[in-house]
Amino acid sequence: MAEPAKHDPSTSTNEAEFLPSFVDLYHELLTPMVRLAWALTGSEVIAEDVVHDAFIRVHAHWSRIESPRAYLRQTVVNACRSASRRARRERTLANVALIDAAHLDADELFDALATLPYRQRAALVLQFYEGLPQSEIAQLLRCREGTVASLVHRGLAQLRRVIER
Amino acid sequence: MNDDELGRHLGHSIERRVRSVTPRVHLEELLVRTQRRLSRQRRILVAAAVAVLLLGGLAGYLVGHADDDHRAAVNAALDDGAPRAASAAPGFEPANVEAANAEIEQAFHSAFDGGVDPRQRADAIQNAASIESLTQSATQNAARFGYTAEQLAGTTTSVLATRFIDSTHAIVQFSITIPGHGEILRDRVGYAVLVDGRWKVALRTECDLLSLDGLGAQCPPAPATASG
Repeated sequence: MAEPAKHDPSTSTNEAEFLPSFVDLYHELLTPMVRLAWALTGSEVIAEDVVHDAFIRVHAHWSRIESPRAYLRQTVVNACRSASRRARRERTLANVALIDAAHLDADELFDALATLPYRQRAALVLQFYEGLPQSEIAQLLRCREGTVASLVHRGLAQLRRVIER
Repeated sequence: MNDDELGRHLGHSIERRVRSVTPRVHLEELLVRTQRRLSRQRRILVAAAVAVLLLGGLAGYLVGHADDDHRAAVNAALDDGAPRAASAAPGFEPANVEAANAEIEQAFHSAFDGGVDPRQRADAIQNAASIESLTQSATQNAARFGYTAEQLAGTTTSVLATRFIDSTHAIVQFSITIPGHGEILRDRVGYAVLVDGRWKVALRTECDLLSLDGLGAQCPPAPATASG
């Protein structure tokens, strides 16, 4: 899908003029981003909130963002990590509490994914669901490529242990 | 099952689960929130700019760098209650400092608290009649910024400190809180001025607050010749 036309608000005196391209981006990426956020947090409700806030951030920084898609994805990944930390701080079992109860019996692997620490979960989701190369995952998670490989390896091992119980 | 196979299964598993997601489109709400955020940022920027101007003016006043002739001309044009360097009396205190402090605090409450009778409010502000239309505009703007009438009615003012400059001027540090919006102005510097034997909020301070609404350029509306 083509990159939505990005208008430079600095050349415009009418803020409304640049909204259509932002609106295009919103319509194009809302669903994929909510799905990604759901996979990262295990909660559809949290996912929608996270993505909603991410779009607001994108809008706020629109004139300075070179790649709205990359910025949006980075914001969503960061926000999902924060959501996971909040859940841990609130002494809920992050690995369980972030799973919507209604979906607990739907798919064993997906549910097992929620038992992993956030960075392992994110590495697996970004590699096997989003299909991103490890270099890009490293940028999103702000770590080295070698660390991503390690996170994926350990995440899969943990996943295997969970589903073999 | 090796890692690659497990990874593929995981990808399919995630895909199966999340493909049912059809998020609600909240574009209108999102745009409203972005506008609110922009408005909030504008207010913060304006407040910061005003704070810098105020601090700069105060510092200039304290250091006394301003050119005397220029200052005299400015002061002649703006009888807005701001203290003049020439009149400063270091260490000055009124004869009844407690009564003066209480009167200044009451004036700030009357000027900025919610639910105050309009006549009482006008009586607490120096030359209030000259900025009546501006304060009405500010009230209308408040609705645009997301302040409801109920919230504005609950506005509270805290006078944190008062320092007398001379027999008719004092610097006042104050904060304003609006329910639902928190402390919108914190540790702000304003002025009190003695008018016909009564301490009032200086017109300069009222104008500084109006400037947060973009109305500062019109305030004070014209060189004031009379106070009170």
